[in-house]
Amino acid sequence: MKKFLLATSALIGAVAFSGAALAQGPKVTVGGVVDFQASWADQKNVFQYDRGSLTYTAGTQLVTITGTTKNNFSREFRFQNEKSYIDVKVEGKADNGLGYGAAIRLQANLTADKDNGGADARYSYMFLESNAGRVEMGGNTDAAQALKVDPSSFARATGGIEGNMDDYINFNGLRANSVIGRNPTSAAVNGNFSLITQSFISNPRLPTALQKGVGEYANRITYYSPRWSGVQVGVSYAPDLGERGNAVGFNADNAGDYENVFNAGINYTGQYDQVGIAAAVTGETGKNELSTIEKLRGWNAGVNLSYMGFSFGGSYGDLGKTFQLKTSEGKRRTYYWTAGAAYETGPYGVSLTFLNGKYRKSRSDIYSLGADYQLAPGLLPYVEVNHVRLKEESVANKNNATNVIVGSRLSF
Amino acid sequence: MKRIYFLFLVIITASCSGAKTEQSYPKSVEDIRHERQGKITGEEGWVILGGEKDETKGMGITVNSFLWRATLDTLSFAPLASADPIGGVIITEWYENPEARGERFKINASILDKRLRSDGIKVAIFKQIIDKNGNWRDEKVTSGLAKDLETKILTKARELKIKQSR
Repeated sequence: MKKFLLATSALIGAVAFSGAALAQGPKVTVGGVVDFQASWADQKNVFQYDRGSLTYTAGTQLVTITGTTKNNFSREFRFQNEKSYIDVKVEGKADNGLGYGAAIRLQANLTADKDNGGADARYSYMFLESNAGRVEMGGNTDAAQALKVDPSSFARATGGIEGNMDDYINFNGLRANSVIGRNPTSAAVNGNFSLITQSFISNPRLPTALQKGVGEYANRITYYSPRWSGVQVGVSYAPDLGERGNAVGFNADNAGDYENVFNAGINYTGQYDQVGIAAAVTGETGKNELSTIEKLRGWNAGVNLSYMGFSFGGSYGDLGKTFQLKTSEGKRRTYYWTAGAAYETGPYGVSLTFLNGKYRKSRSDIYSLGADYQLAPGLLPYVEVNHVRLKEESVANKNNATNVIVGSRLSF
Repeated sequence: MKRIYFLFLVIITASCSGAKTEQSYPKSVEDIRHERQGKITGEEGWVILGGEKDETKGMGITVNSFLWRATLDTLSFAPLASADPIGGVIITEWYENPEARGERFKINASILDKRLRSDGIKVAIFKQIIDKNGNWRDEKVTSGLAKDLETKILTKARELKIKQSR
């Protein structure tokens, strides 16, 4: 099935994509963002990494992390300039009307790569486009993440519940029986270099995109249909979420990544008088390289409404038992729901977004209030206040955190 | 998986049928947020090679395209006397509502900026009513009517921009 799909994608690219005959010379655009942030965060001591050595076991078959050197999350002012990037885009149109091009987003980190993904580019892909749709090939976000609808679509400042608060608030719990995403501090341990321990849902994302910087931008092929009467569909395929850029070498690959991952979504946007509506249903599926870890399953549904500068939205996501050990005690579904509102008038914007997540018995409640003001074209100062309540499976481990981010973002 | 593949084939087949479609493709939440704030280098960004600017300089729309389209959409109820995309001015003919005989309106809309800004559109409305001799005479327009029309155009322009970003 996999080979058939790969061959079909190539066929589509060569034959089915055609349009009106009009050639256009290539256009190369350079741009990017520089984003400076000042942050203050207050979080309970026991969740801070660098308060001495922090040791916990993540299940009986996985890794043991002993001490870290992560920055202090508590009561400290920090300046950060890690969100900056440079975009290079090239696009053209062939004589037969086929559009084609590429996009590369280079991370402009001043220090070591923040997400420790070992890459200097956030994404890099080529695309083909015609009246039959668009095909993207390379390292880029998947169709489910791109088509989903939830309050993060209209959140201001850094992005609210899908913003930058997890740079300053530690969402890693003390005791986790399974894994989510990627450990930013650990190298290969027991061969499971792509696993981290995190027992709280901190973003409204499905499993693939939750693996920020790694699975999120794994090598994949994605197809998007044109939008017909407001409806658009998309589907992605990635052979291995651990492969971003280079493929794994010639040795057996049993690193614990998810493989043969399919992501799909259907999205609708419409305008009824002065009311705008956006809605989507997305889902994904995959299998883990290790037979001891549950399959990747997840789906999400959301809707946003807009009216006279106001926006309202909500979503629900179900991650099934993804990431959990098959032998874990008390396996439960992981799910989240979100709600939010925003208002925009002229150069001002403000938003309030909320997320409630449940991973096994660990619960997260996240509130984010953000505001920004367009001072000049491309220049946006902003402020965001985040408050997080985390409650682990063990009743004794409760954690509240408050974070204030003041920043300014320049887009060029 | 087979269902996804057959959906894929249906979409390709339908696209060849000539059905009306929009060629807009999704962007990441981060990109949508960053595009909302515009760019210091202009809407298109810094084009270092090629692009329409080299070939069509001085032609086409030179004012904000979202405001332009929104104004055309909003004023579509009346016949247009002129529409100048270079100067950014749209002028309607005198329009008499069939359900409100005896009064007619003429609207001048000026797009003032290349950026989508709340002060980027200016609307002037002229009103005439027919007197007992059958002659059209100028009449004062209800205050706020022009402002309401500007708000409607701005809202429409914002929605067009959001729709394109999606």
